[in-house]
Amino acid sequence: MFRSTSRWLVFTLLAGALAFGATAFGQAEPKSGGVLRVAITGDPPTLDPHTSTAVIVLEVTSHIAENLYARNADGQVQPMLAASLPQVSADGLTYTIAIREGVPFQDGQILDADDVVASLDRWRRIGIGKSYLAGAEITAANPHTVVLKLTEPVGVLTSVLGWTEGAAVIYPASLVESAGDAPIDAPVGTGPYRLKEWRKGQDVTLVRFTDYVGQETEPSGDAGRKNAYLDEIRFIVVPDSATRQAGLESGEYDVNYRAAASDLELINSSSSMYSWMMKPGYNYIAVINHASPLMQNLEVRRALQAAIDVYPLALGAFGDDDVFALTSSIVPREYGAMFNDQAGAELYDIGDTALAKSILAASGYDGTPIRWLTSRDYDYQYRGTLIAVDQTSKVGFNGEIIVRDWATTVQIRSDPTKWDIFIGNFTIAPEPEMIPYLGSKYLNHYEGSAAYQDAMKRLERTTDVADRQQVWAEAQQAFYEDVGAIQLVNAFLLNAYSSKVHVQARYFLFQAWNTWKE
Amino acid sequence: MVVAPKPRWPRLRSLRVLRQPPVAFGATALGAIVFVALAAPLLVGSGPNDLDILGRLAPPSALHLMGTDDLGRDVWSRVAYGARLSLTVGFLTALIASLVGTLVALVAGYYRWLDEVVMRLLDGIMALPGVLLAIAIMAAVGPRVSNVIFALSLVYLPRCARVARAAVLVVREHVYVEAANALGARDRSIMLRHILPATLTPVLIQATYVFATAVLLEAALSFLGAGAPPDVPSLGAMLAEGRLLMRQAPWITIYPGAVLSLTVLAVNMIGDGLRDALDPRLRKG
Amino acid sequence: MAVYVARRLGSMLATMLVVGIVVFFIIRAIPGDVTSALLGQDASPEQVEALRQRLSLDSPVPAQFAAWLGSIVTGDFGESSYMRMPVLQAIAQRIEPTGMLTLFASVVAVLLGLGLGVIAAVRHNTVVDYAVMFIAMLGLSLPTFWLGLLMIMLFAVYLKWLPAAGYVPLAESPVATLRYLVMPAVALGFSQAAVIARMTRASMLDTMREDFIRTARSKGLPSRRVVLRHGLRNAMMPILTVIGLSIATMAGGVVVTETVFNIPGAGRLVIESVQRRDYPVIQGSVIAVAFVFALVNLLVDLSYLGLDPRVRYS
Repeated sequence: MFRSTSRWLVFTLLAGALAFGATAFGQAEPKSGGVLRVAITGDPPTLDPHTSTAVIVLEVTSHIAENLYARNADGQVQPMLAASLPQVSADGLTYTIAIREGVPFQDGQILDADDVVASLDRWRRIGIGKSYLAGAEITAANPHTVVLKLTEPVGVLTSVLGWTEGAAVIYPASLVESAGDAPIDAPVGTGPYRLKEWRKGQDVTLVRFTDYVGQETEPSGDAGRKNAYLDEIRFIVVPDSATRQAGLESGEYDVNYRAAASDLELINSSSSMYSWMMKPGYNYIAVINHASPLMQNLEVRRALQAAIDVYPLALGAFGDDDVFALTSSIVPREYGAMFNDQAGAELYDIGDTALAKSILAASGYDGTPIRWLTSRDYDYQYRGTLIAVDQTSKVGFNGEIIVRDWATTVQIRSDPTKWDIFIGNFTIAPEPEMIPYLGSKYLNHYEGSAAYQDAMKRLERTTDVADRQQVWAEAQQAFYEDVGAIQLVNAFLLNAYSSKVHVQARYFLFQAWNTWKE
Repeated sequence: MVVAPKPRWPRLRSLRVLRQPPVAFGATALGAIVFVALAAPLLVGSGPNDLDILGRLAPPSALHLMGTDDLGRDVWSRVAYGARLSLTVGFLTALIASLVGTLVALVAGYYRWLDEVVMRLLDGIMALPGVLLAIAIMAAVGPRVSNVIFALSLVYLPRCARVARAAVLVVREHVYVEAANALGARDRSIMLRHILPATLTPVLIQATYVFATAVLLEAALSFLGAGAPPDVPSLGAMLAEGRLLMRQAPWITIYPGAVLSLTVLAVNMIGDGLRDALDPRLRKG
Repeated sequence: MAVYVARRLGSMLATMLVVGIVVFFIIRAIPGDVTSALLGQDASPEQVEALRQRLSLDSPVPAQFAAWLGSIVTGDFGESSYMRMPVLQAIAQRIEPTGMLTLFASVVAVLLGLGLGVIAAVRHNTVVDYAVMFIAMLGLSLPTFWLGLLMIMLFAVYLKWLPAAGYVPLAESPVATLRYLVMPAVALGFSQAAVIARMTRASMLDTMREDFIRTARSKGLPSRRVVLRHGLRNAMMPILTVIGLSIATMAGGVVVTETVFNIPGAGRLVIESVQRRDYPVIQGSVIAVAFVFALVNLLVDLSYLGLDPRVRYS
């Protein structure tokens, strides 16, 4: 435990240093112009966030299209295209949303309520909005007011509308109509940059949208003012991380989007570049398939939980202990209110072989191999799995590693009879209701104990933040006791920047607004 | 009742070929690698998959002759087991591809009606780049060592069959085969006694070539992540892993690459020597 | 001649068809589908199912095969499931790097191979000969990706003379294209240079023993002229065959080189498409590669005509 405490200290210091660095950068005099060349890991599958939750999609499209709301760096929801936070009726069923006036789209049209209605309708028809707006009535009360009438209260609705993965971005109604349900390859939005060209498999070029009208509040997170200093942002597909890094060093790229942790030391020791940890990144977690008979044995799950020693596992998986943080909180600190590192903390990172052995001995485990499903396409999955199998075998578990390429892994994972545990990076969301493996509809088939189910049900109907914190603490405690999954670490995303690039307000997502280049 | 001079079974002209410096070098090097591969369990201090996270990326030392990789696994141990995989895959691929290839050629070359069909099919397979074909097959059948051998054998089958077929076609027209035919010898006996021996020399020479290139192709497949399962150490996979760490830990890349190159070099040199010894017409002069 | 070419083309088409059918069924035996690439890492089962329906991935394989065969004979390669653009367009935009790489690698292979081969033959049984043959042996034995990695270490990371990896299109800057392709072309071309050198040497040695060379020498023609005009020219037929094969091999082997040097070419496209289960692109590009392979072979055969007037095709 001492180890993780000292680690936390290091992180805190590091965070402080970063914050100091950020202010230092902020003081330099920004300059307009230039092209930012960002080497990205792969071609975005689409440029339409309604149809994909992939991070690369949102980090490109957040420059083009905007949501009604946006989260600031403290995790609070702020208005973006909306004029203010929504008025919610006392029964929590009616949301009245005022739309900002005079906001131009990149095709010259002016934003009005019809665009919002068409976009939200599409988002709930084909996107993640299905889970929150199913059955709701979405109407325009007047050209600048939209009204949502829900069938039951959704505590997290405003938060979801301001969320970035699978974002509820607002397109012109005309575009929504012409695109229908097919993914939009040429998005038009209200953002500070517009799409110039997408050469699939090669690059995506954005240019400054000169008529951009944004918020005037201080930049923070996704919210606030967005200054488009750069003339052009070019996302260049460079799948190989060594190549991205070499290109950053040679000056060919300005940003290595997702640098390898193994290059961190080198980056930090160079004066021509700097590293930037995108925190909190992902939740690195061992998801348990609760539909598997073996995994339905609570004592077996508890023995696994007790066997896992998190630090070496994460170090081996990610290669450098600066790129992850041990935390028992399922919602990370950076995401605001629902952070909780107390509930269930005693069951996190136990790493006690003797204890695990004794639990296992009493569990009736008969030596059936545990099937660990993983893919080498995401190296950290595979390496973490290797180490987890190593650790659990010392306790007495048998392990069988099923390694396939990603597409095959996905298919196997959808069949509950074929796997037991899957270790991977999962999207972190600010609200527990948005985290897939906490709900019963996900492929881990997790129903949870009675205490857990009860707490989660109450949470879904609770809107008040303080109440939600209370209820969520109960749920998280129950989740740990029930071993719903085995929480590991927050895995940060490491980006490396050329020293010529200055970013004024730092956030955990890649943004090229409020960014300028010498 | 002698019908015609029968083709002789291939025979090494003399073992003097071993005295040529390149062949001697190749034989010594290959011998050493085979020894390491076979005796790997006795030679290494820790297993190839033993993890030691806190001792990761250790440079070469007395404890770890070739250092450790990023999971703290002993590189020397992995190289030894990787050589084992390379040799196994290379040898079995060469064996299977030439055996099946010869069989296909015998049958197709002797029964002319089959020839056209079989040849079109083999042409089709041969027109596919070997790496791509192997990747597609591996994706379909899943990562297993036996599947790697299967995929590579399929890739090299057409080449072996073509070489054997060329020999069959030449012999088929020879007097003694026609004579044997006229004398009512059975198809199978004609094939075995008269045609098969003639194919052996070219097929054997082709097999050494297949051995060397199959070792390379296995490494390439593993390098691209489509080879043996990850718990079987492979030199190609080690290169792919070490590649991201070339600056911090070059030993992860350099040793497996060197052993891989040496293996192929040795096989090629022996192959050249064998060629000279078996087929004086191809002698380099 | 025309009949010969027509027949060759006919058999080429038959081969293409075989290739197409083989590939069609192999890739359909691969588990998984394109939705895993299109959706995020933790997409829900609902999302996957909805997308599967939209892309009509659930139709039976025989029906898919019939549809594919029907469109392929009319020259329609279909549309990429991942990129949502015509397959031919997807391949076309990735063909330049692959073409340039193959071209440069061929230049390296042919120049180096012919040069070394001729030198070795002329200096037969000397230290030079042995040295050249050893280099050729190395060329056959070094894995291209290891050679590539070592070159990156030396020339890009350590000496910083050349860019580590990547590609710049010709239209942007031909000089940059060249700089980017030097290392990949050498890595890819080296092993084929070895093949060509060995064949050149052997063929030259055979030719140089022939009577007409002795005659030429005895007429007192200068040595260089004898070697190049008479020797090389007459030794060229088997060498050409090998060159043709080498170029085809390189075109097929670019996958690995493109990976090492991160060149966004057609080889990478195939690998990516396999990972994404983008069937139409895999089928289309494999057929395209096989077509190039067959075409090169045809051209080599035809070029015999120009070299040796005695060759006649019927």
